Amino acid sequence: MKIKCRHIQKLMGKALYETLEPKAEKEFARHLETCEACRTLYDGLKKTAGILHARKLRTPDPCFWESYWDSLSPRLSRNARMKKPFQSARKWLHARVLVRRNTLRLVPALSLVAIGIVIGKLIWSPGFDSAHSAGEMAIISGTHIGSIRERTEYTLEKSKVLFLAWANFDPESDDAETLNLPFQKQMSQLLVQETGFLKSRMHANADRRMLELLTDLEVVLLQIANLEDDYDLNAVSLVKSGLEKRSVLFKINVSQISSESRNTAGSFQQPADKEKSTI
Amino acid sequence: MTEDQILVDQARQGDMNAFRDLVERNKQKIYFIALDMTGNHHDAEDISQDVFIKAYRSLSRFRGDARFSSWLYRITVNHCIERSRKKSWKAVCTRENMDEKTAGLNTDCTGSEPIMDPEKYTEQSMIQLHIEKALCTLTEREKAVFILRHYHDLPLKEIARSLKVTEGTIKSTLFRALKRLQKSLSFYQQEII
Repeated sequence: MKIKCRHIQKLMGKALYETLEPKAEKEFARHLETCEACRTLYDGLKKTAGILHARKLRTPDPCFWESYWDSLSPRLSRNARMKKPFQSARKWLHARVLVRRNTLRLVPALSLVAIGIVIGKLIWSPGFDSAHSAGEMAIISGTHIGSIRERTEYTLEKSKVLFLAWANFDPESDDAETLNLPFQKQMSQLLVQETGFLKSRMHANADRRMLELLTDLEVVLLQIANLEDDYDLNAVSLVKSGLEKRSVLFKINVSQISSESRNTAGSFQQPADKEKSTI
Repeated sequence: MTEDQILVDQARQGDMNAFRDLVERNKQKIYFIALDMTGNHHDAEDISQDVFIKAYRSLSRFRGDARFSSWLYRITVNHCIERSRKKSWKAVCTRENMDEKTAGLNTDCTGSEPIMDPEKYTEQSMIQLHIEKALCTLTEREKAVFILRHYHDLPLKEIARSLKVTEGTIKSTLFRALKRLQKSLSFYQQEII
């Protein structure tokens, strides 16, 4: 899909349900004249809306409306009667306890704010170097501060879990809520910082493939981190296609397999090396 | 202060007649939203009554920031979603259920005299059947947004206010819902229009 088409499809929702601004309207009309795919989609959506307006449901008899209150009021009074014994108790509780409880709520709230200030001061104080902050991020994201290799493996594993959710998500049929965008965004922001830190430490080792993989990770993670809070179908499709184009999941798997095989080879070699050294 | 607000204040002080007025003003809107969501008269009646009972119980929590009707719409939609989770309406979208939804098409509102010729009636019933099936493919939230906009002509702003989301979210939900419905009704488009 062309970028222009994506932009026009973003405008389609507005064009269908509101009026576009004059400039956007001109651009929209001009594009539809030249692009058959967008024109077909737009006409189809309008037709669908037309078809759906043909929906007719059985309307109730006029006597239903006349007797509506009569059938509702017994339920209402039953409810009110059920509530009465508790109502006075609730009023009493509200007057004696709940008002005090609200003031008591202030104490933990204020202490939370104080803890926040202390943490903020610790993190953003001038003496706090970047390696330290990355370490903090690693702790927040659940990783432990270990060697660069361990942290890289952990970052790859976390990103893999995150990307698997995207790979398995179908924007056409799945509910947007299943993706849990706010959580995905938060995790991606943390992982972007971690990959940045790892990349800066990895230059000396000249591990070219790992650097490339981390760069790919960073790009996709940035896309997720920069998504808007509203569920935008086009943006979600863009992230998914980016993930597939870069074959990030495949690359992570390859990297993990090769690292595992290196580990097992190392463990098999160790006894032989020991033997050699004893000889 | 709007008339609704005055009635709400009176109802809060225990004036049942004021609450009755509020019910009379809103009963049809609430019933038809529930009917559009469930497609079933009995469920719609139950839901609309539950909504008014819930509203009566929580009148003290109504702050008057939004319109009273918007507040009722929110209670209705949430109640429909909650009920559908419990009842799994999606699974109830069967042929018999569809027939019940379209049963009143060839009768007037008293349910007695036919007003359509049989051929036209069959055609209409098929359209209704397909529309109901297509609506069943939406999630409850998408369905609610779609129904409020298309069948109740509510402005996007009011839907957003009722469901406590941004207008952008409503727009993208509507667009997504319409695309999904287009897919379900794609075979129709050539024939009907």
